[in-house]
Order: sequence, then structure tokens, then C-alpha cells
Amino acid sequence: MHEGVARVNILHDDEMIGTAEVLGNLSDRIKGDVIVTSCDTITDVPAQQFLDLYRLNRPSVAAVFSEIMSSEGGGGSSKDEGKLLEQFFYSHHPRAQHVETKYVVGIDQRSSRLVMLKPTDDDDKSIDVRSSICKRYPSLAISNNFLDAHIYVFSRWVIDFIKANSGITSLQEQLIPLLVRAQSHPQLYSKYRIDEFINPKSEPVVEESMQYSQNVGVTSEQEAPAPKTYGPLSVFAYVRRNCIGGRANNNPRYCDLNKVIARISQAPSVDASASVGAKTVVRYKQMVTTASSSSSLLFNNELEVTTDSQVGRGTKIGQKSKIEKSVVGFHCTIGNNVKITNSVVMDYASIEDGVTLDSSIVCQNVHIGSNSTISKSEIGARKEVPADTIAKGEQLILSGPSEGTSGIAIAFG
Amino acid sequence: MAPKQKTGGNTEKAKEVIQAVVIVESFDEYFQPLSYNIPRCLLPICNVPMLEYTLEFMATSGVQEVYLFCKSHMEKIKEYLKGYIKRKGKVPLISVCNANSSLSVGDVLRDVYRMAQISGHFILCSANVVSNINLMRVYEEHIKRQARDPAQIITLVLMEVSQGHRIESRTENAYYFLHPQTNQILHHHTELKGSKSEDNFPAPLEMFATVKEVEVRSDLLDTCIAICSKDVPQFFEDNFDYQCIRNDFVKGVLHSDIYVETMYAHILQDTSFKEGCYAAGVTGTAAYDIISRDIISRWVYPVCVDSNILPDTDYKQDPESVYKDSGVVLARQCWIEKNIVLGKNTHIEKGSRIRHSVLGDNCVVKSDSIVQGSYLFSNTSVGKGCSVLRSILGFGVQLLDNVKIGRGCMIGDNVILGPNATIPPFTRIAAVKKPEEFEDLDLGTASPSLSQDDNDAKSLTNVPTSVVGVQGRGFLWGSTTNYKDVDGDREDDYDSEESDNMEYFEAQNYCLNYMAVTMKDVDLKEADILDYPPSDDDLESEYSEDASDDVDSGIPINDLAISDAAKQNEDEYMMEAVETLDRAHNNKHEVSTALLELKSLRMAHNASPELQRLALMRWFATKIDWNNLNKSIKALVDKWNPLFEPVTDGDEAQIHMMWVVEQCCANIAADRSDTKSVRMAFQLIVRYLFDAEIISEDAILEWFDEAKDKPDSSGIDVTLINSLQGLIDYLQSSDEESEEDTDSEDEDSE
Repeated sequence: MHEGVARVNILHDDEMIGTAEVLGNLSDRIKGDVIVTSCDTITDVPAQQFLDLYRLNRPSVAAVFSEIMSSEGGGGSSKDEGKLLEQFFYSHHPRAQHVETKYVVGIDQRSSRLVMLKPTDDDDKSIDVRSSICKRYPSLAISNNFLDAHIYVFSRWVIDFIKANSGITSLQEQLIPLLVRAQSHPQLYSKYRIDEFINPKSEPVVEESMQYSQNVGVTSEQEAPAPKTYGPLSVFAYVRRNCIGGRANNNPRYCDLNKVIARISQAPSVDASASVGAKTVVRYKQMVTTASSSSSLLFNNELEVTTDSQVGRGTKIGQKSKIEKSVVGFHCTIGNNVKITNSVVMDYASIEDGVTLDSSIVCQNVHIGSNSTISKSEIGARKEVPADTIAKGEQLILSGPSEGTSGIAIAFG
Repeated sequence: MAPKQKTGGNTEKAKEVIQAVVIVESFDEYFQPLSYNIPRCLLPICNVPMLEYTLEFMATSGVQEVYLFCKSHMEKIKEYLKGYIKRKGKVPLISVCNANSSLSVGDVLRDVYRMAQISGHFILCSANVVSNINLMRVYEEHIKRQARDPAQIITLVLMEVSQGHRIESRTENAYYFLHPQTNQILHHHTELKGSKSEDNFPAPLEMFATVKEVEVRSDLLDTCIAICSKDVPQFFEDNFDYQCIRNDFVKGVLHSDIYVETMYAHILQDTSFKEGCYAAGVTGTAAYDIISRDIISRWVYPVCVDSNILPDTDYKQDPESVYKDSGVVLARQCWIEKNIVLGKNTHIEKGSRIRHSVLGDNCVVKSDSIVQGSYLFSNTSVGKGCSVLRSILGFGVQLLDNVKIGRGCMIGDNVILGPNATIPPFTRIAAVKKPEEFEDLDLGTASPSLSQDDNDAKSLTNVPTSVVGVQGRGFLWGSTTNYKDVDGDREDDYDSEESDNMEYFEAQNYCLNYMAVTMKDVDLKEADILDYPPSDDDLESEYSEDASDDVDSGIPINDLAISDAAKQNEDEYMMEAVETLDRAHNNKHEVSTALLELKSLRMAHNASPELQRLALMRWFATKIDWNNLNKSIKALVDKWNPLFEPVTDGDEAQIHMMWVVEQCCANIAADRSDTKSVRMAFQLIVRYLFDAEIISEDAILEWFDEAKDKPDSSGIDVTLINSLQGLIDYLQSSDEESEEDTDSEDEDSE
């Protein structure tokens, strides 16, 4: 557990602006190298290791990539991964078109250098690989399964660079690809005059190939590959394989992350103050326990840790209900004969008798009338869902955006 | 070890016999003329025959049965094996198989299939592998993996090469897309170094379907060793066009939608010092040079010069990697610099300097000579004041005094050179005349070319005293860098630039496999290629040799010389094309039928558009009725003009077509007495081709300008060209005048 950060400044921006612009605006507050992250990132990357990579190599940029966890489905009105809600949300901010691009990422195994970042479509059958990059980095790991975790460390000059190039609005979509490309494109490097931004004191990176060419010997007539140094620009990547975490930037991922955290959480899977009615089943990973009385619930100690579901403090669950692979928040009221599978129920929600909830997200203070069947849907905060509703793949939200979230919106991605 | 699965022998015999197929024949001629008298596998590397390394490698790896596939000099190999077995006593079972009908590794594997001697997984390697790895471990891994993945078909042994190491492939960039944990090969891409395509290449995203992450390796070298499952020969039998392992078989199976077989790579890492990690095949003289140096500098330890693989040697290592056998005599004043092997009883006399070289037994280097980066086989003598740079001298070569040998030369056995001779770089000289049969196989030796200014190359081949010296004895075998021949073809083919570039780079890279050839030697600047006609002296010597042929075949003089093999192919095509067209004409076939037949013929012979034009025109000329010129030509063009269309696409093609027409008519004019009617015919052909929109106005005008600038000596018929003046005037003056006008004008000018 950490002791707390020295000082937290909360800055507010009314306008909908890009991530890079934010950094540009803050440039006079940033004194040295800076860590940038987004608040939807949950990761188990040991910060120490990542920062050590940065401290050791002092690259211009270091970024974290994590292997994408396989999704268990759930949390989606979502053939299109819950874009509807986002579209609704972003429709008030036309600049932020949320289309997440998939990238093929190439990382040099020996130096951890990020050397390739190629956007791909699902329709693409193949990607173009640059031979020169392959030759320069003879052992290259490429994958289309690495997720940019949105954790960056930037050298100070990068902030100046952003400020000077007002065309760059997004970190992930513009700045990072540009810098990655500029590493191996001398033209690009000089076009953006990156040299001038980089502190002239910093040591140029000595290329491996240079050292080898000296070893080859006098009689060798083979032209050793000309050492190519494009200056000290370097983008490093820390790759977290088999990680737990990711970015909760869409509903299915939000749902997955909920479940993952419930699974690894140290807290008891059903809070002691929660009450569970008779014959209710809270299904844990493989084991099933049946509460025998309607009073304060009974559960075996052995079941506490390795569970799939979590029930929060003060939540009351009626009789003959069943909760599987789900996370239920604080102070919820769940009636009798309710089935909740693969879902997230937020605090103060009340779900009446006979409701079936599957692969859905239920926000705070939602009330769901009895005998409703809801699957693959999202229900916005404070929504009243009438009894006997049957919803599949829908988004039920209160009309009017002002009722939704408050606070600033930063388009990540 | 996995038990045999199909042959249900008793359990004691269930252990598999480890078999190896060793391909002795190399299917190329990099080592000619050195390998003229003895097979390549018996040429010495660091004074030990190459085959010895391979057999030793097999024996130490625990291989029990070895099948040697030989083609040339089989008797000598058998004889050598007899000695080997006698010497060693306990050796693997070695059988020599005849691969006389084989032309490639693929053919050998088809032979293996038919032989049906291979019962399980087997080791495949070529007979020129120098290695210190324990193949048994690779083999066992392969067997273990087989249990996990029954679809496994081959394990390629690849060596990790640090960037810039001399063993790195000089000719191709190979990219392996591997599974990071299992080393399964998911995709393989190769490109020729220096080719235009060397920029981007596509990699299928499909490979991410099975793995999350792919490792792309560009630092792996094919060692010519592979562990094959027993289905591999079957694959080659089924796919008769597979020629080699990596480019045909591996790529074929990987890119195929039908085959589900998997392939793996075994990577020899240079960090695993505990066990051997060196394996490389002598694929050309360049590799020969590099591997020799690697052995000398102990990369292949414990395979070293002083491990004395041959029984009757006693090499000892001195500082700076100088190895000396017994009986070496060095003058008090001579320089023996580093990385040198000196064979038994070698004498180095006063004032001589030896660097980075290997000298065989009984070699003599007389005073004040320099031998640098060279390989002298046994019984070679170097006279006074000679210099030998980066060359290979065969057995018993005698250099008399003051002979200078430029880099990259190959001097065959028993050649005598000198005194006072200078051998230009990349020359090959043999004691015998180059036999004809080599011509079809070897790209590089197509025509002898020498960078001598005033000599006729042809006469040199017979009496090369000016090169080999007054007392010299030897015949020219051709240079190692006549890529220019192939390059010549490139110029002709403006229609299919892509494939031509490839051809050009293949030729260039073929040369790069020769020792001491650097990129600079083979890299023709674009400007040189387009220098038209070429004015280079050494280029011209090539032309003068082939010039007489050119006139025969009617190829315009500015087309470059073509190798004999290609020429034979072209002659065949020409004949068959003319016959096909004749048939079509006589039997009144449809044009489309004739077009189809021509197309298949073109495919079969890989005929260039030039050749097609030539064939077409030749046939055309035979069909002209000389008594009724106008009518017959018009009828011919009307009926057969679709034949011209595919070969006259673009201005350049049309200009060439004009040259072909001109040349054809000039040939006829030489035969016929009435040049007048020939001129007439020429005009008519051009006119009707123009009318049929086969040749554009621009092309005619441009050709005319070009033709006028040609000197008279270049063999074109000036009168023919001038006879077109009328048409040209007409074209220049008006665009849309009536055709009758031209007609009458033509008649007038005649």
C-alpha cells in the first residue's frame, strides 16, 4: 500500500480536446520527464520495472504494451462492442470520433525498442513489413495482440515538440506513430526537426552494428552494413505478457475487468454484512454453496478467496436467487428467484423478483421491475425499468445527457 | 527415441536406425575448373577434403546409415570412401547412390523416394557442410516434437549469425517468422540483396490466428542441414516442380492452403558455447573462402586445422593462427602473417610475404612473392616476384616468375602461367579446353570475356599466350563475372520489367557467390545499362565474338549477346513458332487458335517479346508473294494483325518491331537480287502495319530518327531506311490526309 502522492492537482478543461493538446497546454507546468496515463487503465505491470527500463535507457518515450486478455463476453449490447453508448456520448463532441484502431506492433527483442506500429483492419490479409527494419533489428517480436496500455513516460523535449506541432492532437494516434516512424526515417526525422528539440547534451545511441563491423577483420570484403544513427530519438516499449488488466475503454472490457478483479481480489467474495436469502446460490468458480437460512448469511470459509463473483457490503439478496460470474455492488437489493449471470450490478441498484440478468451492466440506482428478462444490455444510472421488460442488446438510459456523467471528458485513443 | 510405428519388428529392434541422406552433387559450377578433375566434395578446405568434414560430422553425431548421392566423378568418391573406411575402421554404413539423372536437390529427393530405403525420420544435408554441432540433439528434439505435433514434416537447422559477420549471406535476405516458444516456422520470405523489391514485403496476418506473437528473425543462415520426416520425399514426388528445400518446399507448404504440415527451425545460437554452434555449407567459392577463414580462426572448434582430421598430418598452431605441418621450411627473411595454413614440406623463400592464405602440401613460394587471401592446393609452385591475390590455385599449378594474379581468379589443375604474365581479376583458366556440356548449366560461363583491350576474345580461348605467358599452358574458362550477358537480356525485355529485374539480380547474385566478388564488381549503374549501344571496350569484345551469330539469326546488332544455351532455346522457339504459324496459315486456322498456340509456345520457351516479334516477322516474310506484293501483304496484315498486337504494346516495343521489319527485309535483300521489290515490300509492310494501328506514327518517326543516326557500319541497310522517306515526310506533314495520297507518294518515291 502506498503512502499517498505528494500533491494531486486536478485540472479541468471544458473543451473536448485531444490528449496531446492537454499535454501541450500543460507544458509550462511540466518541468522534467513526465508519466502520462489514462484513468481507465488497470494493470498489474510492476511500475518499478517499467520505470527502471526508462531510467536505464533514457529513451525519448517509453510505453507499456500488454497482451490483450481474452474476453469472456458479457457487458454488451454489443455486436460493435458497446459503441452505441459512446456514440451517444460523443455525439456532443464531434471531434472525438471513437474508432479504436488495431495495430500490429513490432518490438526489437534485444533493445525493447518499439520499431513498428502499423494500423490494420480486420479485412487485411497481410501487412507490409519493411525489410530495412527487419535487417536492423534481427530479432523482432511482432503481434497484433498487444494493447497500448496508455502508460507513457515522455522526455521533456517531447512536450515541447507537441507544443510546436499543433497538428498533433492525439498521443496514441499521432504522436507515438510519428515518433516510431521517425526512428528509422531520416527524412521524417529532419522534416520535423526533431534534432532541435532533443537536448544536444544527450549521448547519441551507439549502434550495435557499428561495434560488429570493427570485428570483421581486414580481409573481409563484405560491406558491413553502414551504421545508421538517426540521432538519439528512441521509443521503447515494455511488454507485459499474460498480464491481468487492460483498459476499460468499452463495455465488454469493463465487464471483463470487473470479473478479473473480483477473481483476484483479496476481499471476501461476499461481504460479511451482505445478506443472502435461503436457497440462493452464489456460484463461485467451481464450487456451489447454498445458504440455509434467511438471516445473516452463512458461508464456508473455504470459499472465500477463489471466487468468480463478488457481492458488496450491505447488499440483500432474496431467496432462491443465483449469482454467477458477476459483481454486485454495495447496498443493492435483489429479490427472490433472480438470476444474475456474467453481469455487473452497481451500487444501490434494486432488482425485483424473478428478474433474469445476463451479460449486462446495471448502473447505480437502477430499478428493475419484476420478471424482466435483460440480456446483453446496459442500463444507465437511475433508470426505472418497468416490470416484464424484455430487453436484448439494448441500452436503456435516461433521456438527456445532463443526467449522465459529469466531469471532463478526454478522448483517449 | 520414438519406436517405429509402422514396421512392427520385435521390441529390441524397435530403435530406429538414424539415417542420413547426403547430397554430394552441388548442381552448380562455382568450382569449375577446379572441380573438373576431381569432385567438388574432395576439394580441400584447409587441406582436408570437404567430404571428410561431412563424414566426420555424421560419425560424431551418431548417424548409423549414410546415403551419398553422387553424380559426377562417382568412381573417385568411391575410391576415396574405400580409403576412408580403411583408415577409420568403425564408420557408419555408407552407401553410394547414383544420382545421374538428377538436376537438383528435388530430383535427388525423388530418387530417395523411389529408392524406398528410408524408413523414418532422416537427416538431409549436403556434402560440403562444415559443422561442429551435435546433430543427435537436434534429431532427438525433432523426434520429441513429433509426438507433440504429428503434422511436423521438417526441422531446418539454422545458424544465428551476428550482424556483419562474414558468413552472413551475400546474396539474399531471408526472413523467418517463428513461433516464439516452439520455433515453428509460420512464414518465410526471401529476397535478393540489392533488388528493387528490397523494401517492403507482405506478411500474412493469418499467422496470428494460432499465435499471439510472432518472432521475425533476419539473422538466420541456412546451414544446408535439415531433419526430415519420412514424408518429405513423398512431397517432392508429388510436386515434381520442387527443386530445392527452402525456396520451393518450405515456401510451397507454408503458402499452400492444402497442406497442414508444420515446419520448425532449430536455431544454433552463438551464445551456447557449451556445444557446437557452427554449421555452414560451402555453396560457392565465396563461402569456401569464408568457411576456410572461420576454421582457421577457430569458430568451428573442435574442428580445427590442428585437430588433424587426416591421419598423416601434424599441424601445430603458432601464435596469430598460423598452422604448420611438419617439414615446413621458411626462409630467414620472409613474412608469415596471421591466419595461415602451411602444408607439409612447404617452402617459403626469402622476401616473400604470405597473409591470410592456405597452402597445401609441397608448395613452393619463391623469393619476393606475395600470396594474400589465397588458397593454393598441393604441389603448387609460385615463382619469383609473383603476386597472388584472393584467388584459388588448383593442384600442381605452376606460376613462373613475375606472374600477377588479380583477385577472384581460379586456376585449374596443372596450369602453367608465365613468365611475366598478368591475369586480370576474375579469370578462370584450366589446363584443358572448356567442354561444351558446361554451357547449358552455367549462367556465368556462357561466353568467355576478358577485360583485355585489344584482344579478340575468341582467339584467346584457343591460344591465350598473351595472357598465360610465353611458356604458359592453359585455356580460358571464362570469367566469374559475366553477369553482363544476362544483363544484356534485361535490356531487350522492356515489356516485362519486373521479371527482368529479377533475372538481372539473380545473375548478379550468382556472381556474388564467387570469392572476392564484391557488390561493386557486379553493380552496374543504371546509366551503364542504358548506355546504348555500349561503348565499353570489354563489352565490345563480347559482341565481336557473337556478332556473326547475330547476323544469322537476324537479331539487330544493338541487341546484346546471348549465351549459347539461351540461343539454342531461342532457335528452337523460332523454328517452332514459324512452323506453328505456317500450319495455322496453311490449314486456315482461326487467328485466336494461332494466338493461343503461340502463347503456349512462348511460355514453354520463356521467349522474350523481341524473339516473338522476330519469329512473327520471319514467318511473315516467307508468306509474301513477291509477284503480287501489295495484295499479299495487305491480305496477310488484315488476317493476322491480332498476332502482332500482344507483342507491340508501347512505343519501345513498336520501335523494336520496326527494327525487326527492317532487319528481316535486309536479310531478304541479301538473298534476292531485286532489291527494288524488297524495298517496296518494306514500305508496304510498314504502311499496312501502320494502317492496322500496330505501329504508331510516333514509333515510326522515332525509329526513323534513331536509324538515321546509326553509323553505316552497324549493319543496317541504309537504302531500306531511306526508302521510307516518303512515308516519313507524309507522316510529318499531315495527320489526316487521304490514304490514296500516301499510296501514290509511295509509288512515286519508288
